[in-house]
Amino acid sequence: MKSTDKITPCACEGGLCSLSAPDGPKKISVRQIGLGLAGLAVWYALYSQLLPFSNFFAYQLLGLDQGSRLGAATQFFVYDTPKVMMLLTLIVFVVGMIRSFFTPERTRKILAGRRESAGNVLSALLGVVTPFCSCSAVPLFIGFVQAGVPLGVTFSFLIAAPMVNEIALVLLYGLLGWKIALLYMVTGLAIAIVAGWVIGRLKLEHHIEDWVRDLRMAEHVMVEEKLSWHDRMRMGGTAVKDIVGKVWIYVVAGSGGNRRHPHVLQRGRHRAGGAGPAQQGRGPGHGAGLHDERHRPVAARDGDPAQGAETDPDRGLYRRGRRRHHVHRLSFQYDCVRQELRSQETGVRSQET
Amino acid sequence: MTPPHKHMSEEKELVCYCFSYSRQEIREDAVTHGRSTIMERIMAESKAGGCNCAARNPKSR
Repeated sequence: MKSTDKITPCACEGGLCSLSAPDGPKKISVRQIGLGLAGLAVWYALYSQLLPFSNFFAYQLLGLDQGSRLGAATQFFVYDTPKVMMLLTLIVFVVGMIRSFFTPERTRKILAGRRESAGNVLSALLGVVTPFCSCSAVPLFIGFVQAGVPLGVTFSFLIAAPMVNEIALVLLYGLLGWKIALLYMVTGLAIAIVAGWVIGRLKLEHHIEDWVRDLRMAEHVMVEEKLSWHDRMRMGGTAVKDIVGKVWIYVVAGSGGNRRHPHVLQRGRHRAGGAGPAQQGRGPGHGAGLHDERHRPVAARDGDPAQGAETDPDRGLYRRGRRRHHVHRLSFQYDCVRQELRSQETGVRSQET
Repeated sequence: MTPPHKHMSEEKELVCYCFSYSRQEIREDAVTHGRSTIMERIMAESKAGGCNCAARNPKSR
């Protein structure tokens, strides 16, 4: 593996040589499109039946009470675990295929000669989809500098790549909703773009070691393997096997751990004396879900936040809290008025005397 | 040129724990070939599923 054989440079145009895939057609066939669409339809059919199935499993098959904590927790576990696993499988497969289009060699070619600002944004976006690990970070940096990619743009790429992870994105979407997932992605990209731009402005090129800078002058050739659709699908499948195979246990543990959540939620609501903004969207019917099955806050379905509560005990808790709040407010107003009347009465008496 | 403050042990410090490439080897490879052939090998190995930074790198990444 560690041989240092000299590779003869080829004279391909643009310094990016393309090697044809050894087997398989280059273009996607009608059969492959049909298989992909059929797979997607099966996935959607299964995904859309998760909620009815979880209700059936928890409340009919097991015969658990709908208002009970055990029933709500079981329903949530049966609904949420396959939901996150299915989302994870689909997105990891799609991202695995997308990643096959953005090899480090191609990314380097895209970024070569890019100016700052637009280059920072593009490199941060490419950092999310380009596969590379800590083994390739330093050689990749050398390659970018060699290709004439500005230092700030290179750093935007190197910062964004490990910071914004597509798996974390899917898990956040599945467990906490699209708003949190979007916040995670936008924050990560913003940090990478701004940090890269600042590094670019600092003009730190003179800190690069001489031997790396000398490589810029040397002839460089990038070799890229042309992949067939079959290869891309295989890469997507490998990503699913690798990533889902590693994280499934955490998904199950996370969904199982959230079984406590409805109880905590009810206690929190009870203590708060009402459904505050943090609690409004959390109905025990959805366990730890911050949103309903259509990813809307449960309380936002109509004007009455108590509608967000899915069970009678919850509605009762909420309304009791609201009543208590009104009573406190009325009591306070009554005290104020009484104090005012007393002071007026005292004033009248003093005038009479 | 390596700065004088850099110690030899720092130069031999591993960058790639999966295939045992040190900083010095990466530099020598780039200087010898005019490009990083180590990177090409790492990329080829990664595609073949031989890279396992999460397990082998002390920083688990």
